[in-house]
Amino acid sequence: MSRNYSLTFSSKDVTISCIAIILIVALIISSNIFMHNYQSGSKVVNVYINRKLYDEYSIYLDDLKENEEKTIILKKEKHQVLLDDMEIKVNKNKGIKITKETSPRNICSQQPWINTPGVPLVCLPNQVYVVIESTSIDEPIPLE
Amino acid sequence: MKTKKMVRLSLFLAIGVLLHYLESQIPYSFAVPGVKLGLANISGLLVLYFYNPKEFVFIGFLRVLIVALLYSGFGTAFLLSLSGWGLSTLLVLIMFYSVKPSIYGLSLVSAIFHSLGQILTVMAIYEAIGMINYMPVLLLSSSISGVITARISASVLKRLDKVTI
Repeated sequence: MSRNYSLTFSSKDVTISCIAIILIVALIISSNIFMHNYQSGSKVVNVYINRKLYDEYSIYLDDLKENEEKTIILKKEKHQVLLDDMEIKVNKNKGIKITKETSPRNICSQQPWINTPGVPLVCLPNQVYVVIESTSIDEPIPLE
Repeated sequence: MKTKKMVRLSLFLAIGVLLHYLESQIPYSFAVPGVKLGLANISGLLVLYFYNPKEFVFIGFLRVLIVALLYSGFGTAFLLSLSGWGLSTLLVLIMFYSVKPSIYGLSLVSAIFHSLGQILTVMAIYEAIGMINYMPVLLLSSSISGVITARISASVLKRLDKVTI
């Protein structure tokens, strides 16, 4: 059998890794610049289930008092795609967090509070996506 | 394909599937979904060391398929595995043919672009550019896991080199 590459660490590996990391950081920065253009206006917490926005769960952060917390409850009876009922807490200061859900190893509820507009809470096993968005946009941010 | 080669490749495939299963039993309690060791990549690195890139691609794809058949199904998890595998394999092959790094460079690139592939897929599914903000943590964890899997693979390969399988 042949031996197709070296097993010893070399300076080439450092160079390649640095280039890869720089490219990805550039991607992150440019995406955030692109997103920033959409982040004006009031902030609203939107819940998407199976890629569809459910207005009835939307909460406007301006309507909340300082440190006020509201809970969004998603029922499995209403949304068959859920594994079980889900709870999402919305706090004016802390942001959004999934607090009760059923998923492998409860990975969805281990995500921290998210307070940044555009950065979502994603729970793939339940096909749920919660995000703070700006009211100045009517549709999800397009990728093109 | 000769019988001996087929048996060896099947062994590496089985190792990859088993490592994937064992890793799925580890209770990761990190806050960012997608953070993991990526032990299954070890089998891909072993195949690439001994065989052609063609076998590397074939065994990697088969591993994703078998894991889906046995454990995860063909839903979103399969899409994520496929996209992560696809992007990481593409970059590994580009590096392999052009720059020719060592096992550490290949493993790092594989780990980093595996995470990026999965993030890009979730971004596409949910039309959410904000998902890219998970990448800094995933970049760090992928870099660490890339070095760990490279170290483990190098240790295994040094011993395998002395043994005729």
